[in-house]
Amino acid sequence: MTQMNGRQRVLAALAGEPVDRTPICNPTSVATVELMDLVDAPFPDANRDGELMARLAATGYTELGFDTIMPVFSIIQDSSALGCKIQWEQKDNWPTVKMREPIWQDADDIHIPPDFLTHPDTACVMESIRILKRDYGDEVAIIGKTMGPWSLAYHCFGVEMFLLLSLDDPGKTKLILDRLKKATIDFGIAQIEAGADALTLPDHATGDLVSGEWYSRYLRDLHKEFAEELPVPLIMHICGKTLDRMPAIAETGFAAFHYDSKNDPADAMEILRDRIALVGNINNPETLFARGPEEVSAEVFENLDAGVPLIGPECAIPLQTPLDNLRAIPAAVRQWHDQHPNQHPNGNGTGDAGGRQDG
Amino acid sequence: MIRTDLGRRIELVAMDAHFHDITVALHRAVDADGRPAYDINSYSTRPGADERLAVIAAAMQEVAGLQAVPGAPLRVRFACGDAHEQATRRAFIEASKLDPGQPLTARPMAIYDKKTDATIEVVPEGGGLYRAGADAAGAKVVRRVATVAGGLVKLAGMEPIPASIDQVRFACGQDHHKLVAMLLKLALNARGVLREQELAAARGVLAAPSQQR
Repeated sequence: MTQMNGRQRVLAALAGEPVDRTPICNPTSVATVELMDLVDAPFPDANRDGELMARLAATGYTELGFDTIMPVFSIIQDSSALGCKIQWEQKDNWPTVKMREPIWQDADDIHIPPDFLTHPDTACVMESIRILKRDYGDEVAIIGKTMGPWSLAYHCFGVEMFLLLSLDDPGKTKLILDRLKKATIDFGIAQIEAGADALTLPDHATGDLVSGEWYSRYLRDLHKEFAEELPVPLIMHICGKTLDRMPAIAETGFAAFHYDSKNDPADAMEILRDRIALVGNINNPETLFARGPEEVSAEVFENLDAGVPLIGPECAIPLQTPLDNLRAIPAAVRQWHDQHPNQHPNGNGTGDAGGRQDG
Repeated sequence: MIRTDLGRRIELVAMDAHFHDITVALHRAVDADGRPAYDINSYSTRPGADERLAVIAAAMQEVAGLQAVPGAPLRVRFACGDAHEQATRRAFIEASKLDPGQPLTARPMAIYDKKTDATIEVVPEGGGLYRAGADAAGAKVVRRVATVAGGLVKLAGMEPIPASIDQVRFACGQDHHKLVAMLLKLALNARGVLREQELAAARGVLAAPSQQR
């Protein structure tokens, strides 16, 4: 098969089309403190300055060898523009929303500010995407990120309050989600216009707090709307055990689901094969952070053996992750393909349509 | 460019408080003669970063007793030829904390302990064997001495001596007075030191919004 560049490879895999090898994809951050030093773009500034954000994000391609660049490291850019109070932290930690200080109490309080897309913390995202598109857009896929309304509701109303509301008042819960979706769409469209090839859409109906039935009740139809409104491949991201909601996620029209290491790759592929792509699921806190390249490679191989079409970390990696472990991901993908020379992902080769067979 | 000539990273100081918050790492290395050694590295391009790494290397030598490796200014090792990896990681962290404006001096092998109002000391008995003791008596002091011995095991990977609550030794059979002296103060609260280390390592691990506050 003709050799592809990273952008072609990622977009083909997200479309379920044949690729020359499995793409290495990070729908979420691969920034580390050492990469921040390498390009002199440390947190928190790299979360607030488009040029620094682009410079740090590019290392995912230039230094680590991924097929994607994803500059939206945090999950708070849009929430900051909505008015949430942010703890920006230092170089070695993630900015977070101060959820103990919610900005809204009721659906009628929801107000998307007129400067939502020109606020410095959203505008810097568009600026970084424009820079990356200019400098790397012909080589790798540029992935943006817009938070889903469930996540935004956590940030704006507080986790506890919003979860209790979802139990007590489904109507008001749906009203909140419906009113917040404009923020998700507007921020997504702005990033697409800036040059994003695909968008990650995290919506933290996580396995530890929300059941699969909850996902179908509150989010599936909303997510279908996003798939219709946002004209690029969308990558849904939800942490935790999510096998129970994967069938519903597959109905949304999203291109891919970015899944957590708490889910077995073969089990996940059994559910999603031929429906939407999977991205993941190299474990962060134990494997990438605390173990070595051998263990990273083993998890990459497990995903490839299961037919997972895009390989990457399960979520935003810990900021102290060793670089050797990150570089082990692309190395392991190439090693696997060297050992399986006739296996071309997504059916071009000896595998079945829609998946690989182990040689 | 990321260096590909470094061994496995075994310790990281994410923000060096004494030099522009740069990140400093300790990597395993092997000397030309096959002996275990350690490389100190930073990816910072700030002017003066290499000099800062040299200061940390010097502190590890002066305060913890590692030795320089000729021709490799940012490489250190133990003269005994043993890796002593756990102790080296601790020495690296402590060296990075030292104020570079102050002279480097080896620490004493005795320390005043407020909890027992006694001076706790570690006495070398030769061949890598050390005995913790105090200039006072009583059950509380005995427990404190045992705590110090246990702390040295936890922090430096020293070996406990069977049936002894106050003796520990290095498996290499060599003395490491400076290292023991550096660890003495920390050994009084080894659990707290390790907890602090865990917390520092856990910073930067992103929690899902449902786990945040």
